[in-house]
This record gives sequence, structure tokens and C-alpha cells, in this order.
Amino acid sequence: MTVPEVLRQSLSEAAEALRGGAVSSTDLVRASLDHIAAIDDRRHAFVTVDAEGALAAAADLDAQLRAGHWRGPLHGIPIAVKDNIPTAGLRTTYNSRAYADWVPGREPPTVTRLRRAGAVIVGKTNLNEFGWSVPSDDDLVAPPRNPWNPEYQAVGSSSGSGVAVASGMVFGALGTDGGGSARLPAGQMGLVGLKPTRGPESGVGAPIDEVSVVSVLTRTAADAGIMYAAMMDRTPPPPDAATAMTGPNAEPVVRLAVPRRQIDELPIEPDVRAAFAESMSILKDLGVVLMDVDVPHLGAARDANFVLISALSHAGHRDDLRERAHLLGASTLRYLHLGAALGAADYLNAREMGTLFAAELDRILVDCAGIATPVSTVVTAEAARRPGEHSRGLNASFTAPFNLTGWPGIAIPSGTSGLGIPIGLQVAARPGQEPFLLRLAETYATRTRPSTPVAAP
Amino acid sequence: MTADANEIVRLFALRGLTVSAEFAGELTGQVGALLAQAATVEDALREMKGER
Repeated sequence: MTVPEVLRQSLSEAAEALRGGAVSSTDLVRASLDHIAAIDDRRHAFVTVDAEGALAAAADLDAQLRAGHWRGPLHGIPIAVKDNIPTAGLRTTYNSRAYADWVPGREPPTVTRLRRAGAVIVGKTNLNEFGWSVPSDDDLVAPPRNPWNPEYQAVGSSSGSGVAVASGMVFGALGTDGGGSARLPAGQMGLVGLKPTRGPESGVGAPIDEVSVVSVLTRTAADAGIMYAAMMDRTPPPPDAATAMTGPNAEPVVRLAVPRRQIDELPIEPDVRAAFAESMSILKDLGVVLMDVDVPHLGAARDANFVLISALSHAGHRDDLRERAHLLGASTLRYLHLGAALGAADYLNAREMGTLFAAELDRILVDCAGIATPVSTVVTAEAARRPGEHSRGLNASFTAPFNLTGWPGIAIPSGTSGLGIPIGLQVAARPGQEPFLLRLAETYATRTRPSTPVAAP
Repeated sequence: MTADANEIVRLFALRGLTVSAEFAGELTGQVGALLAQAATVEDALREMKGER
């Protein structure tokens, strides 16, 4: 069993082939559906596959292209959407037995815009129930396996989206990121994961939107730029990979801050430290100036974000706890109850921390364009979920603070562990700096590999 | 910071949530960790605002 050649392309390459007539949307969607059918019983990337709907959409988009109407680079491209993002007319389960039959009548604007741009949603991807629990066998669908080493689970919560893209089942996927839930799986599966700036239309229409943002996972930075631009209604960044870095405003010298003391003091696994050191060398080779800084409240910012996740997850699922608790998984029950122990002052303190920490970070960064860290402290999903550590978010020590501030962050493939599982570099920047982050990721890849290969079935 | 299972049962009941003492017992560690995080945030806020 091999990955079909047509699915090994990047999204950008597939878009070019499709527009040029070398392949049709129906060809791509059929290949995607066949590949899912062939391998997903072992990977568990999908909760729902919409073969009929996807093929109908592809046929319609092929007809539009034949009539001369091209919607843009997503025209006819098969993608997937995390199953905690409502999709109008398509079952959305949260991977929960409590929502096994829910077909929403609405969806967030990010999804509608992707459809309008011509993306074909082939299915809904797996997650740990509601995205706030430890995956367990009483979820609706079993936990996804990491395609780079299937002995291990894929880290979440956008685990199914990561597996679907890394395995070549689709060219890109939407995830959500409330504490690192898109950047962490992207980092762990060799993908680019972009968490955009938080804004009025960045969420899914739930209380968790206060920290969580609809995010993209792709095999290249250019592909992430295409999906980001479509879902946020922005102009796509130019697809030319720069060979020299420039700053957000085309400054010739790019400075990135590195929170050296926090990186030294946190319990980071050796493979992650080695990959981060290597990524610092690559950035220096690219002409980036690295500035060691101290971010004294990074840990408190992570804690504040987890207080908010606990409070908001509880608030968003109170009815589930009261009316459908018997249908929820054991881990989910524990995580969703946690927020009930918090008081109003705890919630307000955590929110205030977001405001003060963003201002502090802005001062610390001075003229730095962003801040570079490892994506995660650990390599495997199993290590991330050690009892007593997962619910406090220790593996999300570098990602969660930027959910609290609402700043954009990107996971960039930057190495591989001894287990064969990829490791990611994170760069976060001030609000609205997604084009800079994408350009940086694309330039970085010119020194590593322009496109992540597809994991073997 | 520790949380007692019976206290959790009573607190959750005030919020309209019925849980068993056994379930509350399983939650004590996680609740304690969460409240410790909330306390860390409160301390950090005081420091950031120059109150200590």
C-alpha cells in the first residue's frame, strides 16, 4: 500500500494541476476518499466521511471550472474540518456519544468562506471528546494514531486533522487551538500549524472562543497561507519563498526573542532541546538576530489560560453535564466538571492576566518581530498526558500563553525525535502578523524541506 | 492546596450538579491543581501591578 502520487502533492501544487486541467476536483476527491477508506481503520483520523456530499461538490466545481469560473487556489481541493467546528448540513459530533446524531444548521464564517472559495469538505476529523479531556475508549471514535510512529497516539486536540494531512488523506485541515490544540499536533506531525489572531469571527460560536481560534494545518507554509487567506477573507500572501528574511514591515534585519531562562528551567525532553538548538542555528543562518529575553510571567500566563479553558469549557457544557452526563466519557466528565470549582474572581483574574501579560510581552519584545520557542516540551502524546500534568497544561507551556493574549502563532517543522516523531518550532508575534509568520515559515523551509513528505500508510 | 471530596459534592450541588462522593474523590487532585493555578495567577497579578 502506497500513498497515491496525486495526494503527495502540496495543496499549492494540486491547485495548479487542477487549474491547468491535469487533474479534476473529482479525481482529487475520489483519491482522497479511497485513501481514507484504505487506511483510516488504522489511523482513526475521521469521525465522519461525507463521500456523497464531497463528490457532488467536486462535480459541481469541475463544471464551474469548465465554464471558465475559477474560485481561487482552493477550487476543488479536498480538505477536512475538525469535528468540534459545526458544519451546516454535515454531522458534527465533538467525538461524543452525546452528539452522535447532531446535524447543525449553522457554521462559523471561517467554514462558509472556505466552501465559498471552492474547498471540498470530505469529512470531519477526530479529537478527544469536546477537545478538553484525555482521549479514551469511551469516546465515539478511538484516538488517532501518529502516522510517523503508530505505536503512539497523535497529540490533540486537533489530532485527527493532523493525521489526515500528514497521511495525505487531504491537502489541508481546520483545527481549533485553545491552548495549543492545533500547533501541538502540527509540531508533532511535521506540519505547519497556524493559529491566527483572535478576533470576532475567529471562533466556533461557543464560550471557548475567548481563548480558542479556528486554525489551519497543512504540509507547507504556502498552503497554510492559502487556507488562512480564504477563511479570514484576506489577500493571500505571495507564493514566492523568500531566500532572505525580512520583518513585518520589510525591515532587512529580523529580530526574534528567545525566552532563554524559561526554556532552560522547564522540564524539556532532550530531543526537543536538540531540535530547538538546531532551529536556532538555521534561523541565524537565515540572518535572523536572536535576542535572549526573560518572560517572567510565562508560566502564570499558561496557568491563566488553563483557568479560562476550565471555566469556559464548563460554561459551554453545563447542559451536557446536567442532561446527558451518562453519555459522556469518564475523562470528559472530570475535565468538564473542573470549572464548577472556580469562582468569579478566578475567572476575572485570568482575564486580567491576559491584558497585562500582552502588555508586558509587548514591552519585553521591544523591536523584536516575534518570539521563538519549542512548540511542546515533550515528543509523544503519551508524555503530554501524564497524570497530574495534562490538565495543568505543562506540555502547552509555550503555546497556551499566546491563547491568553490572542496573538498569532505558527508551528514550523524543525526536526525529528529518536522515535521518528517530528518536533516543531513555534514563533508567535503581535496581533495581525500572520503574513510575517507565514513568510518566516516558508523561508525557514528553504533550509530544511519545502514540503513535509506524506507519512507512509 | 487540597480539596475535600465532600466539599466538592456540596459545592457542585450548589451549581445544580449532582456527583457522587466517589467521583468527587477522583476529582480532588485536579481541582486542587486548578485552584493552585488560580492562586498563581492572583499572585502574579499582584506582582505585575506592583502590589508586592
